[in-house]
Amino acid sequence: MNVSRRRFLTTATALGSAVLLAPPGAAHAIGGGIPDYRPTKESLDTHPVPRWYKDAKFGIFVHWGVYSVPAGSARQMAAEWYLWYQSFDTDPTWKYHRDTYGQDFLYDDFIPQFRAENYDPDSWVRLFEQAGAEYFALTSKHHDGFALWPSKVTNRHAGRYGPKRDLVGELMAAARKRGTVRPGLYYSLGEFFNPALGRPMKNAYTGAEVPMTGYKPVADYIGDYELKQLYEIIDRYDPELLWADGQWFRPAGEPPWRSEEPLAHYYNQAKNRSRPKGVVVNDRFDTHFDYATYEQRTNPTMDAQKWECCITMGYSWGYNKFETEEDYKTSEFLVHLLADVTSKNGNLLLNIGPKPDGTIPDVMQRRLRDIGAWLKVNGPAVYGSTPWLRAEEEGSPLGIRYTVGPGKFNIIVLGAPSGTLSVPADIPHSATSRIRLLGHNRPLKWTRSDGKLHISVPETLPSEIANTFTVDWERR
Amino acid sequence: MNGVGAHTDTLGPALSVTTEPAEPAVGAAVTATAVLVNDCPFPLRGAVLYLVDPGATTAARTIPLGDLRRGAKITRSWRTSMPADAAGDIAFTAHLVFDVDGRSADCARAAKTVSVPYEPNGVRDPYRTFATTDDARFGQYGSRLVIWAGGADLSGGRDEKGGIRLPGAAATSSVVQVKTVSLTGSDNPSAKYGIAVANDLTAPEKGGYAVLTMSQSYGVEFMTDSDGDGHLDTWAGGGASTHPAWLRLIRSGATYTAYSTTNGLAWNEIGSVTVPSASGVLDAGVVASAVNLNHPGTTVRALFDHFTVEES
Repeated sequence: MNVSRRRFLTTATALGSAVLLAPPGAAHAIGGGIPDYRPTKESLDTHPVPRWYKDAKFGIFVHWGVYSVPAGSARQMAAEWYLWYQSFDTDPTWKYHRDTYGQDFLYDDFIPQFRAENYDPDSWVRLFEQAGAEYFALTSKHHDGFALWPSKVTNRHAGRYGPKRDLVGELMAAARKRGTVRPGLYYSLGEFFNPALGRPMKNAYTGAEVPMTGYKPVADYIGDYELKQLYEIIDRYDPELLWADGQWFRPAGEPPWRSEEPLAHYYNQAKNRSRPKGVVVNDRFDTHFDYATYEQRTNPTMDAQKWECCITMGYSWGYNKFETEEDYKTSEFLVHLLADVTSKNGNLLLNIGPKPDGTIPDVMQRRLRDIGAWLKVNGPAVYGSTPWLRAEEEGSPLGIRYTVGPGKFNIIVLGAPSGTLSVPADIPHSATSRIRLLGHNRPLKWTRSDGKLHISVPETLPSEIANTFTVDWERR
Repeated sequence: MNGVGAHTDTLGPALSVTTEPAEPAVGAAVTATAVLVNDCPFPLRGAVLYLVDPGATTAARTIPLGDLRRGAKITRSWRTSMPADAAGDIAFTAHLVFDVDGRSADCARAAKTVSVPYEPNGVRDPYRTFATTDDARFGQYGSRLVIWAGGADLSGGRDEKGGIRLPGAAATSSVVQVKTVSLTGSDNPSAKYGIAVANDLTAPEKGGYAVLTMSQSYGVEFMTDSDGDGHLDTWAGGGASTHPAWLRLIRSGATYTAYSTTNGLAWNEIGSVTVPSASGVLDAGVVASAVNLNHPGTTVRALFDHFTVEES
């Protein structure tokens, strides 16, 4: 199943890319006869969550930017917020920065050290494949306002400073070339500091206003800058997913973000092509959304509304050089989390924070490969699955999660059971059902008594982390 | 499949549940009706509809529907009732699973929800109540336990709380566990609810006393009475609060180890403490306090679920 999915994605993205080569005027509204979306919440709310996103279950979040140069000030510190923390004398980062770099060394002085000299987007995509991820979201611009693509509305970007490369474009091209992982982009609507927001950058120690590297003066932060950047990344990179953030850093006067305009454009350009494609947005555009975001937490109950758990491996989203192996979640926990999230109608967006040279820390690579190894066997219980009547046996010491796949009912046991696995007998089965263990080559013996199914567990299990028992389910 | 899958992108199918009567009283007979319309641009393959009574985790009816063409409309009713011992959001639920194609399955879920307020209806055997604050009240709804309580503090200095206990439940090696569902009625960040154990919870001075609580906003607290005088004198915990959460206290002789989890996947150890006065089989229960020393007159409603005491 996993193999055919990969093949499908390759075909899909190849076709999608080809469409983009057509001149703008060639696109026409087919999209199954769906009328164009209008820039209103009511109209946008008619947009469906695309099938690919429902099926994907697992994606990779990538937080990469200038903040990966200082790489935090301590353990358990969100390194991507370095600029903000460093700006307040009540925060330990303020003192750390002064003691480490000196009070005249500004945040923007880190930009030349953000060089991406070992950035290999092909190897990133291969790693995402090895992890079994179906999509990713790269921070095209985080709260520090430094864009990773050559934006036309500012010079504060990686094409002009630092790497002097289109970091976004290279990764999107690598993803499209391999056709295995759907590319998405994160974009922060607001910024920590920006003269157009009414919050200019300052030297945190002298209070003196300082220039914001690359800033091009604009009269209207939203209309002249933020919305234009959103249109840029939509039209230039054609992402499958847009992940908004930073909506709380509003311009003075707190005007609305007007996200309905780019979202309608995003949806319409995705459907008004000879081969429409599904695109998806999260819930931080301050208006309509396709799915709900659960940051650093999970939804404890099954939810008919599609949702996504985004979570760090350690504590920080951006690379934090102070984090040690023990700060990272274990592969076992991450696999269990993926099974839990999947059983409750969520997706897991697991974060990595590359170093400023573009390399991905070893511990993150190991975690991703461990998940990939588990998915290689157990993927059929994850990809393309949907929640059953209940996700788990709540209150039971037995750690199990249920999913439904085409023609299959899946029992994912969090751990390595031994002897007999007993589950309530209301799980779908018939007298002739065959029960298998993914990664094991023979059907298992089972009996029914006392309101339970008792499944004989093989002595040798495919995984010490989690194992999937599947029941053939004809449903006819 | 057209190669990009967009033709199976859909908001549907449309599933809804209604009840007759529309606002049923507690204990009343109810006819619930699920209506399914396949407004997807493709047939639903191998559809199975589950109809679920309030509070149940298994289906009252399981209805294989086979393949449902575009535009198909299915109506199914089931006779049930408003449970007499349930409160909160009482849901009559329909859950549909189906295959989109050979690669994808999908589901739809809908519920008619009736809100019933929790009332202090007391507890039933084998539960007993106890209190060191005079305004405590108690309720039991299925697997849910409810405590309404004031109380100035729940700590070593003042120990004012309401509690529900299982007398003599925690053997020498045992696991006490509960889901802390919600704590409402006060914005006081120090208000707390959770597990308590003691040789005799009505008389902590008899030894073996410990509490493991989730506070409104200040995270988990694990307090024990290390010298058997009935006063909590050790503390561990902190961090952020989450509601719901799970609390677990493992007793191994006189050693108590406390854990919490927000997701049931990874249990975080809060601390491990020796309580030398623990003796024999302990009382185990749940407690709540408004910690209203600085919030005079406020009370809380603490809601628990799945309270268990198991020998390990």
